[in-house]
Amino acid sequence: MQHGEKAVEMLREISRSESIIPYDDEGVRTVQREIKAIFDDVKHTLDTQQQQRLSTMQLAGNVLVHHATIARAKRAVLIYLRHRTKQVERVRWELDAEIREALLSHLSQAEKEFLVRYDALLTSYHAEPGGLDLSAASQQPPRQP
Amino acid sequence: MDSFEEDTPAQRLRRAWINESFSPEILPCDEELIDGILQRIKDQEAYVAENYSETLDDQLISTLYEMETERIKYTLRAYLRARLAKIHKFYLFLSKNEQEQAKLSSLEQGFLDHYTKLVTDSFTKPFLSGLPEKFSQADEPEMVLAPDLDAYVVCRFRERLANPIVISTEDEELQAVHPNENEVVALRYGAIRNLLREGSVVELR
Repeated sequence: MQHGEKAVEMLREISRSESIIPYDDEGVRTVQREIKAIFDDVKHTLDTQQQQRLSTMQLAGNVLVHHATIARAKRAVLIYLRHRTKQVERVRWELDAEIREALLSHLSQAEKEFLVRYDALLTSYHAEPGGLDLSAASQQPPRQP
Repeated sequence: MDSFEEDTPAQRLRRAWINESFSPEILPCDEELIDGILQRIKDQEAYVAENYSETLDDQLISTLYEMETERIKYTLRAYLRARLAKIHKFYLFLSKNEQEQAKLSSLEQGFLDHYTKLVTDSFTKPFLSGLPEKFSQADEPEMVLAPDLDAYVVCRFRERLANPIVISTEDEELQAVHPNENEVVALRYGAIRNLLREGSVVELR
């Protein structure tokens, strides 16, 4: 696997489906390992630059390319995670108990925690302004006289 | 078409909702207006509850009150939802900018703080905490989504202003429009941003 390709592959997976697919825990850990490996690699290069007699240009190029690879992989995983948490938010807004049950098994521990905390946050927000429920089900425009 | 003189609270609320829906950025929250509206809703619902009577006239009045209350509630919900959606979308941008936060009600500010923490945790716990420290930040500049103040909006001018509106961006030649009263114009949001706050310009679809 090329450096950082796992992250892009994960993005492809989620772009294929409208609904939440099972969380790829192994994928996220793989990317973490890849990033650490690249980071250690760069560190090693910096530490041994004297022995390797690298020119400034070679060193700079090495570091830059590796940093860019890490940044790209990080960005891809953050997009992956954010896309999923946005899907979780949508589930909460639509308040469809059936869908919720089916999807719970696809969520990671962190995502389940997100759902619980997001639900609590919305509930307490609604509790304030005169008990107005902002969720979708109650939003039909009233008939005009 | 509505007249702009003597805006009732309900009309002002409707205006606030429409402006919020079509503005690319979140607008200052009129907390006074909202509190007034909530009070009005409470009063009207109380009236309807207390004045149940069998006579046709009384029932008619109650029905009218109920209908108006439903309309106001709908508008208020829509207004608050439009704002909440922007808080979701621009959470990083807002949380890093005190001037922007001043536009939020205290309730919304609380929401923003919690929501930001929530989303940040969703990045940190499963992923960022396992990366080298240098790469473990969840709020880097490239992640921040800011509102597009150059987006085009359609607006109607309530009156003819003393001065023309400058609409060009920095690298273009100076261009300006000078709309007449009730004229509808499509232009860059940035050009009317300040006017909108002062309340003399209206946004339409």
